[in-house]
Amino acid sequence: MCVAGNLIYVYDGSFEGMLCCIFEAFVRKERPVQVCAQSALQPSLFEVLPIETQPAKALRVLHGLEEKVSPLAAATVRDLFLSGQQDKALLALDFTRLAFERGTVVTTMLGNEVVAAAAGAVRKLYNEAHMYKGLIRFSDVGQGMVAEIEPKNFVLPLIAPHFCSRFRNETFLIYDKTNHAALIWQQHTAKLVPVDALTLPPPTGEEQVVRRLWKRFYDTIAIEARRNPVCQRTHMPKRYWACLTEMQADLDTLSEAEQTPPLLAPGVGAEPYSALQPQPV
Amino acid sequence: MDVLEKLTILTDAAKYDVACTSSGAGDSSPTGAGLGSTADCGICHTWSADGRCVSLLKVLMTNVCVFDCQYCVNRHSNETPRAAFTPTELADLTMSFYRRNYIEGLFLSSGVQRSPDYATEQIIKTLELLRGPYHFTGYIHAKAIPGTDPLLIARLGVLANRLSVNIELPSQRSLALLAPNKSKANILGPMATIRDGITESKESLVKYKTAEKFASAGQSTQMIVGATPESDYQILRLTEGLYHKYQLKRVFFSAYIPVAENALLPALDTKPPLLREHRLYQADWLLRYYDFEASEILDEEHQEFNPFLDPKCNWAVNHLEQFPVEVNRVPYEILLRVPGIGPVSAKRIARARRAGKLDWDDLKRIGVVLKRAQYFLLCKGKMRPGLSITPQNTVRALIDGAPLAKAEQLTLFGASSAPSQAELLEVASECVSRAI
Ligand code: SF4
Repeated sequence: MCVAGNLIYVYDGSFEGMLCCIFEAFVRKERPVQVCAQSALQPSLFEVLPIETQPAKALRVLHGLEEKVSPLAAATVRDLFLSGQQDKALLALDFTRLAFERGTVVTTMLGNEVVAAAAGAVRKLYNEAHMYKGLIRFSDVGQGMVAEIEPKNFVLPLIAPHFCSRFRNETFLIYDKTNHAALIWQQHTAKLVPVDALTLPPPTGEEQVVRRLWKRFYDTIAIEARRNPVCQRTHMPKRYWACLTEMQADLDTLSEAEQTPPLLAPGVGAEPYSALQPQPV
Repeated sequence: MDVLEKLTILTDAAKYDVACTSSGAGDSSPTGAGLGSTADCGICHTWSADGRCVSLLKVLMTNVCVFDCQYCVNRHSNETPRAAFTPTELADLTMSFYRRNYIEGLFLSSGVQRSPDYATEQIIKTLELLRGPYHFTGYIHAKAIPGTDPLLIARLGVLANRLSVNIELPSQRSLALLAPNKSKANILGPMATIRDGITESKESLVKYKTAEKFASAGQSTQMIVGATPESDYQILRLTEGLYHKYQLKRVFFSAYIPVAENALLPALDTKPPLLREHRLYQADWLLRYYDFEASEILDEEHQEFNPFLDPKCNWAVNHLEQFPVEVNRVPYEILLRVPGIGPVSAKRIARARRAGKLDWDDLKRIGVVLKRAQYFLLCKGKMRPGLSITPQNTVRALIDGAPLAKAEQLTLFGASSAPSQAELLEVASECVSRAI
């Protein structure tokens, strides 16, 4: 392998696109300095090599990992794609290369720099996904339940099974502001769709009543003699607070906006997240 | 009285109950009608201003109580606003919180309105609504009230994922003194009923899949620490006994917060013994996950926890002759006894060393925190380069500064001169070094 010290691979931001970069790097026997989604590309002195997304190539990488290495290695690469870490795609490339070199043991080689970095990124992803299982707050907007999140990682595909099973007979939507995507659960079917913006209607009277009850419960349950804001923030960092009903000083301002149907502004260049669609529960 | 007002009173009355976890019920992905599921690892939905995880809607059915437990805000003789939910009000509230993902489920306890049986019947009515017409398949933790008819407890166990009976105080003597309506017998009675119900249902579930589940997330209890004179050792022994005899999932401790002027209880301006509570949880952790026995942690001669060291470090400095151990060879159980290494790190080490011998840099990359562990380990036969291992250095690294600084500064130095962290560390390490 020769190191291509001056090349940046650019892909369309999809999972398949990222896999195609890995494919390309194997074919060209090189390691780019960066592998970067189109939308995150910064002007630089490096040469840019756009990589075309071809599902067949992507599948070859994924199946190769699954069959020649292990399902766990393939899952790690998928998880890296969901990671919010800047260098995730390059890390996925390095990991894949190592995986083909070393085989099944790769996922136990935690002392290796690449594996440790990958495991660290994946751990952060799963930790955040677990946090959001608790911290998502739905509002009843009449046609269904709606929630907004602002995660660092792309957690929606990971939390989808949990929410679709728990709220199986509801209609709900979770909008991810960071990744401009939404998980929609309707008539027992889940869909992950690109979305540019979401406008919530003002809360109904009943919604306001329940929010007030919840806030009251939250404020009352704390024991004054044990007050410990540091501990509170360690467990629940401030970046989550914006979307938490109970952390709003004035409840009535939460998500209050002019009524502007439609609820969702569809994303541009919508790719359907084919490989990431939630499985039926 | 409207629901908001009831909720305020009945949350306030329930807030001293500590168990708010939703773990251990197994992962369920129910299908069909209804709302809700359980997650085995438990999910926190928020953290309150006291830093505690909020997972369940924790309220009382009513705070009306005919008992007069001296340590409790709801005791009969206390003048406080009283309220009671109707089963429908509480079931509706639970559903509307659950749908919005505010909570993982319901934690329902009650004051003894009229009699233990009557109070339990109200709880049962609420749970029957939730499990019946509302098709609620989420988590429910219900309290069993001492002195309740075993038949009612059996019904409760079918409706709830977890049951608990509070042991309240760590000795029969204290109980007799402060909770005249309760006794060891009427607390341990229901505990045994629940244990047997759980065992029986587990056995039948092996035989037929459709057998009825009984408190599938197990049984827990809690006791108040610092209201009465029992030592840490006594409490820990009792805890260990409860785990063995009643197969409890958890024992919870709650630092006593004075609620009444009473000659039998600590004065009203007494601070809750948070450090002690913290140490008890650490020791409890050692019993449950580290294969320690209570007698290894404390004994007749050392009845109280070391304020400066957590129980595991305290054990290690008293057994320095067993260290250092070789990371690449030492059995998992011994690895767990190394200060700074918990089950997560120990598992990672066990997994990583299968792929090849580990050195110090490998350990760091795996994510093992070496600040404490380095004094107790060898990698490929070598000590950590540049590290000087003396008993003094070792102890210094083990001192648990944070809870110490917070909880002990007043008693150690007088309220006026709050010491710096460094000074505290100095005093503490001297103290501990002298002791060993
Ligand atoms: S029975 Fe329960 S609610 Fe009533 S006084 Fe005793 S501890 Fe408090």
